[in-house]
Amino acid sequence: MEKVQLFVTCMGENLLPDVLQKMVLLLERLGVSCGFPEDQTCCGQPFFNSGFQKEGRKMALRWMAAFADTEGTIVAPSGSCIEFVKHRYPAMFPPGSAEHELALRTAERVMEVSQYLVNALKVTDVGAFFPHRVVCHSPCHLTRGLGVRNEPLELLRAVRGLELVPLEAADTCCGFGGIFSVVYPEVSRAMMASKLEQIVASGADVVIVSEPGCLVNVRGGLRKIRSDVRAMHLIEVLAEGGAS
Amino acid sequence: MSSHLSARETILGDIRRAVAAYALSPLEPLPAKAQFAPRKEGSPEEEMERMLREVRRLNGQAQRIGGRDEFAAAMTGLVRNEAVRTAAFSDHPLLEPYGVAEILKDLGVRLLPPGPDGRRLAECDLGMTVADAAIPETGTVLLRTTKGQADHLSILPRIHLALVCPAAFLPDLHQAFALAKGDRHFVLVSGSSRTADIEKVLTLGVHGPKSFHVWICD
Amino acid sequence: MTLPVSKIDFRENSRSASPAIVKATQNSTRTALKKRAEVVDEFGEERWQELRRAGHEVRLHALTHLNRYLAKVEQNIVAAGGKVHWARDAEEAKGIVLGLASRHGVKSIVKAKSMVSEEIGLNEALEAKGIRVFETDLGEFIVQLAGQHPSHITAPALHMTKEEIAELFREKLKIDARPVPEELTEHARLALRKEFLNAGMGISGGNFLIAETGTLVIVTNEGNGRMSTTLPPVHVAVVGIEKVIPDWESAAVLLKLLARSVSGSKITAYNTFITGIREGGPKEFHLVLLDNGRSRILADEVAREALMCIRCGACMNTCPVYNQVGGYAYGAVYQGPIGSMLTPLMMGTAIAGGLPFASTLCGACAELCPVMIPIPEILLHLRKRFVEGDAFERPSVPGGLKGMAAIGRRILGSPALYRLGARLARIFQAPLRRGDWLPALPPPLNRWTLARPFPAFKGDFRRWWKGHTATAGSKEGKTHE
Repeated sequence: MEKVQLFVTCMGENLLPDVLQKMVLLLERLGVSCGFPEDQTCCGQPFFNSGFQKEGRKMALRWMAAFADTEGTIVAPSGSCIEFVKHRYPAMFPPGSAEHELALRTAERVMEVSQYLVNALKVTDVGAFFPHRVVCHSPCHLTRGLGVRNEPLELLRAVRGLELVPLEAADTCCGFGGIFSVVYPEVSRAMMASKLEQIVASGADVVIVSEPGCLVNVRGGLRKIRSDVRAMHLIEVLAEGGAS
Repeated sequence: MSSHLSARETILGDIRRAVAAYALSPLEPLPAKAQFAPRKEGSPEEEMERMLREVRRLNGQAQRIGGRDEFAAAMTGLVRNEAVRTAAFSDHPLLEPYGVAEILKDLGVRLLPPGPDGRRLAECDLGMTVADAAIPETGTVLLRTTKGQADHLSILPRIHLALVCPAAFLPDLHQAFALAKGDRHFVLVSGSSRTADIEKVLTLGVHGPKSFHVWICD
Repeated sequence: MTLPVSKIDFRENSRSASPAIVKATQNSTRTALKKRAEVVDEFGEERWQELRRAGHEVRLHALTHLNRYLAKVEQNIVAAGGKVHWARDAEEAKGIVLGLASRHGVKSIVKAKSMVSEEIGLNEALEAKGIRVFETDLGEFIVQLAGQHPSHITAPALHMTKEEIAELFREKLKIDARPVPEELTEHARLALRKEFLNAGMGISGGNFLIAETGTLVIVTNEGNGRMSTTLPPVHVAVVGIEKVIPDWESAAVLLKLLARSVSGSKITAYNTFITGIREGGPKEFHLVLLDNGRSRILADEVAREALMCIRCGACMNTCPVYNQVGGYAYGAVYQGPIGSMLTPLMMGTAIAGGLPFASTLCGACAELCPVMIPIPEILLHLRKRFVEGDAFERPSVPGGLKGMAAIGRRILGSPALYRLGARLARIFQAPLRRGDWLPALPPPLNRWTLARPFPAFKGDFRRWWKGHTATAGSKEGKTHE
């Protein structure tokens, strides 16, 4: 039986626990058993990317320790967290050191969830049913960082009843950018407003935002403008209508 | 800042220290990736079509010229259409068989000899040059600066006419550079002087010639 | 705008950005990107990536052997009858140019576009000595007349409407100008033509310096690069030391990348190649090589790649931040992503440390950069410099923030404190909660909520997991994995 370790992400765990629950149930439905290393907290990205690299490194070591005695692919519903572990962790430690070796081994194990479904499980049709008009935002770290561009679309196209329409400037940043959203809030707001404008103009009922930070950003933005458009993680759509 | 070292010595010294790790690595061969494969040329007819098309794409005018009669007819058309009253042309031997001076005189055009002070050409209507080579891929002509074909000839007059032989067509920039790199001065001209600095609206003839003609002489 | 001497407040600048400028910026960049995409498509995606890699390799190679190539440039230019001057900083460079102008009794100068000359404030220095300086690139001419600064490195006047330009020409050139781009261009052509013919000196920058033969490469679409460097009797070129490239093969690669990246043409209208002195040209050719902090940047292995920039402006065109604030927000001559690297590198993080944070690290710039500069990588490197300091600078971050980060890390780093924090958040959010949302939060998190509500801390995944695994366990009884 396939086994994965859950990388829940600090934002996911605290702000989007339903997405995590649905991810577990979806994976189990597909025959994958899940482990959850309980010592995990945050991978350190918010610190490291804000310039607090010493703090970020300490968190990385703790995070790797939490997963060290486990086996199997480490899966997260977040391209940015996966990208951080995959590309940044090895670069944090001097080549040849024990930490570097551990980081390389850990980096090999991590996958974002749509990446995992399509490339590892070789599944695109998860049996979902979601009869809505949908647009898909392209999260920056998932696409440019990890190179995951087609997998979410393949999964969406296999959902019965789902009408996928193009989103104007889908790969333009939504304006979240981690601390950017609090360091330059007005610019962040303006970027978010552009993204919302394009989403609303598309005529879709739902926008897929498969990145916790971006999802929180866009969902909040849609709420503020009192839009009927729903922002959902890919997992939430894939969990719809499947046999439980 | 060291006061006893010259600026040159300071700068080169700072740089040397900054890239000390590379001091012993050889300059040659240059990174293999730098040898980007130049374009392969098509058949002569394809290249001819391409040149005509690309010059026009850049808002220039291009045509093929057969012999002396066609040249004379084309020149007459140019002089009339663009109200040419004064002209200057290069001393390039390619122009000789066409009898340019006679044709222009017959059309009542005053000739300005191409001399050392290029400024006289500021009020000249037509400047005629011969291109040493052309690159059809981009509609480009290569003009090597010589005593008889000064830079002024192709930049000051309001109309620039460049003659080129198909035999002088080159596939890519790489070959053009191989030809002219030893010169003190040369230019690659592609299309008319242009700008989009005002609201992204394309306008021609900013500082350079307002109209650009390429005649391909078979 | 040269280089700033006081702290750049990007937030304040972004707040006061003129909506008209932002809109004009967006229109301009959209057009440029569209044309770029077309011409890159015509070139072929795979070939384009090969070309970018080649561009990257040659630029990096030139930088890592810069002293050797600079020496070659000098040797070749001198052999061709030109003169080479070296300037450690802006003051020295200005001094050299002023000295040359004075020696030749120059009263007026025509200038082709040069970012470096703006970086050092050359025009102001010349004008202070009573020498008239005419910017000849149309966009630069316009902003010069308006007493403004360029808002984009390749489209200096993109922020101005044709109506504003017509008004400007009416006022400053005393002519009856209508807001028609073709007519306005004609007015500029006429006004500048006589300056080209009368100027005692032409000043240019340089797109590249080819070490192989000591050749200065100047590319323009307007022809002002040729006029400025062929008509006046003295030509002075001020060029940053990082512009050196090894040979003509490199020049071919980089010129193909440049034209397409700037404005979506396959080639710029006029590519001029100048080696020293020639008959019929200027009597004197002077190259002023400018350091102004570049050799220091070169010593930084990560940041040195920012020196590979060929000044195409594509990073600015695609940057979602630049497109919401316009060029002036960056407070310096270099703007957008390239500015966010060069300004703190040249001026230090105490002055420009906020700029590397003016990015979401989305990576759009790095995808377009013709020479593959790893821009997000360098921005992260500069953020570290700001917060923790490094071999080049002490940290500039306020001490309080560092303390907070350490505390934050202790909480987030410890599983027990982390779970406690989450539980406390769920409790203390109660008075602020409106359903699933927290519409207002106390500072500093009010910076989030000024734009949109924060989601309420919901549920407890770990508790659900315990229940879920317990159920699964009891369902499966003694089943092994």
